[in-house]
Amino acid sequence: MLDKEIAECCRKLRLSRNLAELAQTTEGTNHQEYLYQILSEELHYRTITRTEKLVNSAGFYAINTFEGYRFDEITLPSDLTPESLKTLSFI
Amino acid sequence: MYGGTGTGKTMLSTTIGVAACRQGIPVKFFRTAALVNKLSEAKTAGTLTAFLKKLNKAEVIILDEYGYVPLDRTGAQLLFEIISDCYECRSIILNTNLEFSRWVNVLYDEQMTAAMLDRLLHHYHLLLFPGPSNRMRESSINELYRSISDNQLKK
Repeated sequence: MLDKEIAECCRKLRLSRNLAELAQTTEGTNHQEYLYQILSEELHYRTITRTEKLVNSAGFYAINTFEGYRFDEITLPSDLTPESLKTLSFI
Repeated sequence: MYGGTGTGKTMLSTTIGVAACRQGIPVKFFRTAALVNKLSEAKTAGTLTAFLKKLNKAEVIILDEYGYVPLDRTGAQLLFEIISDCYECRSIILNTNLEFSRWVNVLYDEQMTAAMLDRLLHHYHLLLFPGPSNRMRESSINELYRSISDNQLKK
């Protein structure tokens, strides 16, 4: 009904297109729940896009993850463990 | 991270870098020679300040292939500036196959090498990669060698 109007408001408020789309599809039992759903979804969406952007702009040649990574051919110093490397506590 | 070529330094540093990004920590990954080239270009173009400002937004800077290519004097000075800027406020992951005593061969200036090592080694973790090259182990050239030696045995 108000698709275009909501999209236009989002644009003017510098809110994402994602939020405008969420406004059409999200359901809630009352106004507050509906609003909370949209806002929390949008926050989640922003976290994902931000981390994706960070990964893409970092300049990696490949995207590797710790899944299946083996530390057996690496000599770690006494103050580091594979776990502490994975949790990035050194940063 | 110190170890011979193909032992997994780039892979581990990339893995750590990706994990950091996924936690919302900004990371920049460079081959050292490429970074130095970019710095030199920025200096010539008069955009060095802007480039450094952008670089300083990263909380982790990964310098890969450090020491594979010798640097010129300006390049070495610019790299020193980056490392000095990072001291006690950002993390650096540096991958190299050069032991510290040979760093002067890349930077040429003994005093600068000493100052760079001083900053890097104040708070550091040294990861050693003593294994054989994974690239060579996985390479199909091994099969070629095997077939050649098998043929020689048959003769």
